[in-house]
Amino acid sequence: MVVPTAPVATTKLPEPGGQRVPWARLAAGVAVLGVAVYLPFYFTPEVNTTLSQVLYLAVAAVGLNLLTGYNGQVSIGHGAFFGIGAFTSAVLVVNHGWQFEYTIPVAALLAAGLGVMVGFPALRVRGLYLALITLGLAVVFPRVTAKVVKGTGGVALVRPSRADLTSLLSGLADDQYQYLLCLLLLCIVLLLTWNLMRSRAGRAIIATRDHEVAAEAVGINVAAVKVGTFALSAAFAGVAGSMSVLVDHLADATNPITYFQLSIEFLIAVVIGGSATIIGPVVGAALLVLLRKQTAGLITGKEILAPAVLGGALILIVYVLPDGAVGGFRRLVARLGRGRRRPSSTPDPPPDAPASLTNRTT
Amino acid sequence: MPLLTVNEVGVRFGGVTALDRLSFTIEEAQICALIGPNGAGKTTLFNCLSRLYEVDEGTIMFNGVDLLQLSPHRVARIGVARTFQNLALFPALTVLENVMVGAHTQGHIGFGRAMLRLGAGREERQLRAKCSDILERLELAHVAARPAAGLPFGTLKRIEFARALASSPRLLLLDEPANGLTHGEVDELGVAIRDIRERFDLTVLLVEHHMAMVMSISDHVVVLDFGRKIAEGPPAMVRDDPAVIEAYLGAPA
Repeated sequence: MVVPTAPVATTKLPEPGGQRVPWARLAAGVAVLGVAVYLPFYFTPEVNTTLSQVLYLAVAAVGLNLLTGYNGQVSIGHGAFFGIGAFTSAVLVVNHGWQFEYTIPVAALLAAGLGVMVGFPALRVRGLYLALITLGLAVVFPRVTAKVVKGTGGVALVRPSRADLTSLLSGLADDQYQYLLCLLLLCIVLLLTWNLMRSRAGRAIIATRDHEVAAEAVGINVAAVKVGTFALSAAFAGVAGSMSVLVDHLADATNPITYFQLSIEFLIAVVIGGSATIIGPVVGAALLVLLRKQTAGLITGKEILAPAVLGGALILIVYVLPDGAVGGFRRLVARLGRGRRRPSSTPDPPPDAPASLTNRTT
Repeated sequence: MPLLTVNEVGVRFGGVTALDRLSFTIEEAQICALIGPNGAGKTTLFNCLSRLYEVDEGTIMFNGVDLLQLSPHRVARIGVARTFQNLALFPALTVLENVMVGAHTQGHIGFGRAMLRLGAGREERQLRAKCSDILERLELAHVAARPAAGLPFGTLKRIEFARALASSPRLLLLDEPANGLTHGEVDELGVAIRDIRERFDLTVLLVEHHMAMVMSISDHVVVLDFGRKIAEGPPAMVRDDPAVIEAYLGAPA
């Protein structure tokens, strides 16, 4: 088998150490970031608030994508981690007079702690069973919170005043500052995720998802990878919860299904954006909020139908783009690329296996 | 001292004895083949070596280390790598990345340092260089950037080899490497295994059905039947052993 095959083996590897610098992508990224920074100075405070909601939804979805997309552990309980983050920030700001910004790492740590606590039992189950357990987490969360947190009137609702969450930068309106802080946090979360996924640790996360036994055989501590991913994923969701307090001035566990609903929204954002891609969950979060806004105002007088229209739109998206917006985009680029390039640029499989064997896959 | 010592190893599943006080040793730089009819316990022993199965009795020593005290992911760390009977690659990763996962034990960057990029760039370059080199040596450089899913079967088998070699093992476990290959490919495989042993300075233990290949490449053959060792020795000796002939062909009338 190692006997030299046909002379196709001339294609050079990418130089050691070097993925080539993706200039086009880099330029696109800078352009998008530039526009994103400019947006709050263009739009009204109401729009800025909506955009900020996209940003915190995106942070939570990036977190869930780490766990569900890259590591293959399905969670419909990430609303609970989000809730931990939200209540941590709200309580620290309102009851203990903390500056909001300092509450973010605390929220992340507490959510990560809960993530570890869920991550260990999650080692024993997978697939649907794991989904059910995490679902329980989202359902239990508001009830437990209601026992622990007594806000105004004794209910599990903490509402920081506008003054508690005021802008640190003079010259920026509150809504502009909130948006920019959320944007900064999303960029940090994306950078951390990107760094992680192009490292030894990132490959271990994917290998664990794809073939646990083989991963273990090459020396990956599968249990540690799974629990670690759970904790990190929860921490990101916690940061998102913290951000939501800044944007919505509210941490509210009075409605028992709020955090369940949020969990589903994170999952939707991951799926329609493109799971196991870096930017997919962000695109998904934007799409989801956009769809929600559009469908809400679509049928005047029959607002009760809005969720059904939203649901229909989501089904259509998943049908048309089974691998999400990013996956669809990539296929489009690939198709356009194939049209232009000469077909010889990628060599075909080497002729070292007879045709009868070529259709087998892993 | 032998590199691997399997001593009185017994494994039972319920009432079935899969391995019955099996003992044998492998010397450094040997190619040792484990053969026997289906259900003889070959793969069971492999899974004991990979720590996928618990052993009911006996000991397994590798290079002075009690293998049975290790958790499964530690086995690779002390220098034991394996391939799988039915390919077990990571389909979402490229070929190069698959091999880089194989080099997991050669790196040390965890979550924290990866996210903050503390030393991760340098480690990536080192792993990439090492694994690119292995791919070149196995004539796989031209598929390095392709996803592992969808390549020809023979190529995938070679990628599994490459992945196992990336951990710089001392002992390479091959689980039915000839399974699913054509006659011509089996011959090439035999050459390749001897070649890899020389170039990567390895000891090899293989489980195999394919008699011709086993007899042509092995230094030492261990024959199992119903979990028991029925013969052991150089290929020529084992081939003529009456107990082996009986196990394979049935008792003479």
